[in-house]
Amino acid sequence: MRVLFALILAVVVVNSASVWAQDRGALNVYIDADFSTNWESAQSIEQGLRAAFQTMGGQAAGYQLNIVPLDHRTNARRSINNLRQFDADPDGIAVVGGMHSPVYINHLDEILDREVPLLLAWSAAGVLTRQRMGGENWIFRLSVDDFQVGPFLAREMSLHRCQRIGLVVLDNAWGRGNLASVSANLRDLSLPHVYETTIATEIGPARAGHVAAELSTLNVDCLGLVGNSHNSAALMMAVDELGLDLEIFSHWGLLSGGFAELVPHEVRTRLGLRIVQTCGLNDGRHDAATLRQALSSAAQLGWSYESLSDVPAPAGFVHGFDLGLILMAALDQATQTVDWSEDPDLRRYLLREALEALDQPIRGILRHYHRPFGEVSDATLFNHEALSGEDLCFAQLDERGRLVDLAAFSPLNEAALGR
Amino acid sequence: MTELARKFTTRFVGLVVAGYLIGLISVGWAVWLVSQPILADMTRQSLIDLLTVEASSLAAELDRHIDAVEYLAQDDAVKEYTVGFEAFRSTTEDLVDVLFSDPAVHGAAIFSFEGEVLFARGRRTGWLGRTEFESSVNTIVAELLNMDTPNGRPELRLFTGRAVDVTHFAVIQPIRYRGLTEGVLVVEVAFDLAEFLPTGTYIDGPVLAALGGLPPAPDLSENAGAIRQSLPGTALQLIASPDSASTEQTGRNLVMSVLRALIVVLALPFIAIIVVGNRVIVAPQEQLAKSERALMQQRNELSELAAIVHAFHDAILTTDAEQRILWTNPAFERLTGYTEEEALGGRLPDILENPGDNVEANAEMQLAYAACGTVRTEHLYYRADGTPVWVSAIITPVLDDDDQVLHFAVILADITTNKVYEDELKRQQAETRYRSLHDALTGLPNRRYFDDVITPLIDDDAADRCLVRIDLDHFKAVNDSFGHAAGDQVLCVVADHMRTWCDRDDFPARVGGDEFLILMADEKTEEDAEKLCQSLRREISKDIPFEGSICRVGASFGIASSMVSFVQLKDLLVSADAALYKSKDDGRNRITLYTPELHAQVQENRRIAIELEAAIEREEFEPWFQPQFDATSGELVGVEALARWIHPDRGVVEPWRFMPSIEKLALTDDMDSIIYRKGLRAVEQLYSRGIQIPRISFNVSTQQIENPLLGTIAESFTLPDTMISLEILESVVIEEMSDEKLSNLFALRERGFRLELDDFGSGHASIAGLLKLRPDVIKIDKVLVQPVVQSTVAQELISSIVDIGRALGVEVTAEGAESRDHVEILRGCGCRYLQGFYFSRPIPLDQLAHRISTDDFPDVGTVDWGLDDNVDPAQKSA
Repeated sequence: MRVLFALILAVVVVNSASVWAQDRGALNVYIDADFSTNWESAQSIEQGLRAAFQTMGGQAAGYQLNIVPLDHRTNARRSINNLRQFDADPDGIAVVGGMHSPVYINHLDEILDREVPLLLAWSAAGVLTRQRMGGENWIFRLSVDDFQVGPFLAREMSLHRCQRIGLVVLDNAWGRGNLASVSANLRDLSLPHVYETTIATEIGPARAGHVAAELSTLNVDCLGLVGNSHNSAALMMAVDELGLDLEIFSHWGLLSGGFAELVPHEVRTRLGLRIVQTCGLNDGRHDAATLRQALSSAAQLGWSYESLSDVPAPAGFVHGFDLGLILMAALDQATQTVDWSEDPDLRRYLLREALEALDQPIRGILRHYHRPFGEVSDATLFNHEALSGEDLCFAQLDERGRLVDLAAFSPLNEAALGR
Repeated sequence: MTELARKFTTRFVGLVVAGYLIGLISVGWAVWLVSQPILADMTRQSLIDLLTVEASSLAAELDRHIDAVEYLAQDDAVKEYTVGFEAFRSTTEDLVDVLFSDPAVHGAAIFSFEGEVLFARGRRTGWLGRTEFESSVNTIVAELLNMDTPNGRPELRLFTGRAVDVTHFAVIQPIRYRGLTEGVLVVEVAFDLAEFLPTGTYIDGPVLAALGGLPPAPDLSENAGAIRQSLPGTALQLIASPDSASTEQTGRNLVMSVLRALIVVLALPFIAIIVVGNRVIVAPQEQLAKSERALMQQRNELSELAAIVHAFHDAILTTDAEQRILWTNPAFERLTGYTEEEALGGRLPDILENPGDNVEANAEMQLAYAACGTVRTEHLYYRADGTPVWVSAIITPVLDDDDQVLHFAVILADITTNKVYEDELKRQQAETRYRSLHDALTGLPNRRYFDDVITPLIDDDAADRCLVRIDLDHFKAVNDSFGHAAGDQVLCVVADHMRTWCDRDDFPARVGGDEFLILMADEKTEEDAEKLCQSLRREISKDIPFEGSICRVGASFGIASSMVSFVQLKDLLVSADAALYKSKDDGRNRITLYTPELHAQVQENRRIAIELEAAIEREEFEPWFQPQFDATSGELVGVEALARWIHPDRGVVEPWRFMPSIEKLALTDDMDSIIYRKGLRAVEQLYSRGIQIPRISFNVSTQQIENPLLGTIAESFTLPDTMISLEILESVVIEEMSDEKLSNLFALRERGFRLELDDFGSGHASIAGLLKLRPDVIKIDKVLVQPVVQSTVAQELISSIVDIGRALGVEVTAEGAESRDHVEILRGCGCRYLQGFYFSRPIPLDQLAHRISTDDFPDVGTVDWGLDDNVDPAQKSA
């Protein structure tokens, strides 16, 4: 029955969309992400988004939806340039952001001033969706924000009875924000950490070795890690080289790209690496039907994945897909308003209005979204967050580097859990 | 050494020296040819070695900067800042500042992924801000940003391809973020290549930008011999050309060193050749040639001598010590008329002289013979035909090789013509001197002669003398009446009298037109002089016939003698002059001695002259004012300014006391100028006190009329309604007024001055004077005015003058109105203005001001003194 409904809906939508498409032209959805060094995450987001659009024949509300991928290479200057390019495009309707928060934090004011509808598929920095109270909020996120990660990491380390906790974070706003959050929550749990430091975006073996030596000196048994692929990998290799006996509780930032190639599975296993993830990514936690549909749509577009684990950056794909569905729903709703016109600024405004008040529920991979976003106020600080802390779980990487449920941990890690 | 010996020796030495020099030059040339290729190779190899060392040194220096740039580009803060994280800006700035601690760093800039300059810092001398460099830097930055090259050493490029004082290098390093080029760091380093490289070395390689306006680079191709040396670790090369000039210089130095050594080494052998060769070869040749030349020279000399003697214009002869003639040349016969045969054996004086002639010359000649010396004498000889001839004789002994006297040579030259010219010249000189010292007309000594005679007397303070000064009376009248020829005749007669009556030792002279002096002979007294003067006065006063007429003149005499105590010898002329003037003053034709009384008067006059000159200098002269009134209305019409000398000791001095001296000293003009200026100032002062003077009159001399400042001075005072009158004496107008002076007067009248003819009637009373001057006013002299009270003739005369004035349109002022009768009569005669003691004596300014203010003047119609009218009213008021 559900399948039949979907088929009927698809035919109707496709038909009507094809008619509208001819009438209403195209709308461009920009992707601003690091397609160079973290290409896996960016590409996964793009694939998820395209797969979502594909479910509706690449159209929404009678508009042909074009995806314009732009590479910011984690360069904030390139990122803001991309957003300016979008702003200048009369057919530009929204921008989907990549996994890096700092590039947006750096130019937050300009993004808001330009009234760019920015949909974050993976960026974690809390401040992005909770900025400038009293003004219009143009940034929406379908990803658990870091504000939720801090309490989660602290709680989990407490449950694991960690005694001497060390915290290593990336030396940027995102990293330092997480450090503050984890530290505060640890103190609340009467479990103050014994070591903390920041590391640069790109550290070499020397710096990594130095940090590892300090961890060793302080007998750290649990390491909270908030970093990206490269520096997290460098640090883990240094820790492993020293033969430290500790477990690593990592932010998902570590999965920004290529981590599995940089750190062998044995090392990952020895260090008990667990990664904060949205629970929907784990087997059995997501909507299997929607996931199948997403993978099917991806296959139609040439990306054949047997399971979510085959996707290079599953989080990106899932977030991109769900975000794509929400975007199309919002467009449907916005275009039905009497004010909808050819004015790009008005269109973006109406889209933002629609995103904050979606009438229809959306069945995504991670969850079923009922009004995923609302208007942000002092009382509703998290209304631009589609997910919450409840959606967080730990995952691990299997031999092939795919994210798998923590239940698939190795015996070593099981032992650690039982500790 | 003889000339010949010198010649032989010079030739021989020259030959040897030439061989010596040719040898040196040949050796030097050979050394040059051989050394050049060797030196060139050595220079080239030396340069290669040097470049190798210097290239390493320069490369090391550059490496230091390249390492620093590489390190900086890899710094995390720099990277984060480059990709847009502003939080790292200050750290980045600090890191770049560290670079600048090295003075070689001139500029640094970080470019964004778009090629935009994110951050720049530079020294003033760097490339930042220099358009030609910036565009070049931007181009290469853009190239680097467009290709993601793997990590590598920074690129090093030159800002210029050629050596300049300071060479700039750009060290360019991409800033890679996450392995990708996201920006570019450019650092400019510059240093003076001269510290590293030898002169003439250039640096070449990838050029970022070339400086404009450099001189063209030399040809540094290898074909031109240039050497290239790579800078290790860079794409740069050092290029240098071997210094060919230096090579050549080294070659020259080598040649010179060899030559110096050869000069020393070969000098001794060549000197030995010269010495030995000179003795063995040159000396015998030289002796032989010397003998031949001596013989030839003697023969030539003898021939030349014989020819000269025979052709000589003057007579030449030889004598023995007794003056006996031994030989003569042909000129002897031409000079004396005696043949050689007639003369030989005879004594020279016996043949040619009259006994008793040429005594002094012969004595000199004898002395010369006796002393075997040379002498020149002049003799009067007589030719064979008896005609005299003046001869200049030179006698000189002729010596043999042993300096023994062989005989005497005598040269006789005819100087008769010279003697005639010489005598004539002496005569003419004497005549010229006579003329310069004597008066051409009378033949008496002149002033110059007199001065020549008396000056030594004064200078030597010789014995006392007596001097007579004579001036003819009425001589001008003779000249005017009978002409200058008559005057000349008179002067000659007077001169004859003086020659006749003066003793031989007296010294008469004519020193001026009709002025004579007689310096009496030594020891003659005033009495002797007086007697001589009486005789001369008597003779001179006699009639002198001239061309049928009779001329008569007299003479005035002044005698002074230094034998009296009050006359010095040097004052004789002045004293005699004073005595002469006394004679003139006393009526002429007199003889006056310079007495103590006269001396006292002269001294007094001299003192007065000194005082007057000082008075002029100190402006001790003041104007006093005598008012003039309208004869009918009695109104004050003006004042006449009259000079008074306010002597510091003697008080007010009346004009009659000082005017003669003033005129004699020619100070009239100076005094009039003072009175004129002070008078105008006085009227100006009165005006400022509210007293208006309608007219002021000044007596002016002819010199003042010519003074161009007369009008200008008046204009410098504020005299709004005062007319200035210039009073000119009638005698001056008649006798001294030239057309030019009249023209000046008329020009003054056009400038507003009023002209008055003063003292009319006291002299010529000439209508011609009136017509000549055409004055505005005639002032009748008081000589004519004063008698009018008693004389009807005088009244008629005054009336006539008034009538003449009316006829000519000239107003009449009468001076000398001393009583009321005068006033009434003169008014009755028609005189317009009156001036005289009746109204006021001349009074000083203050009195004038007071009397005008108080109207303290007698009325012309109501004055009745009730006393004797002849009494001076001023005396009455006093």
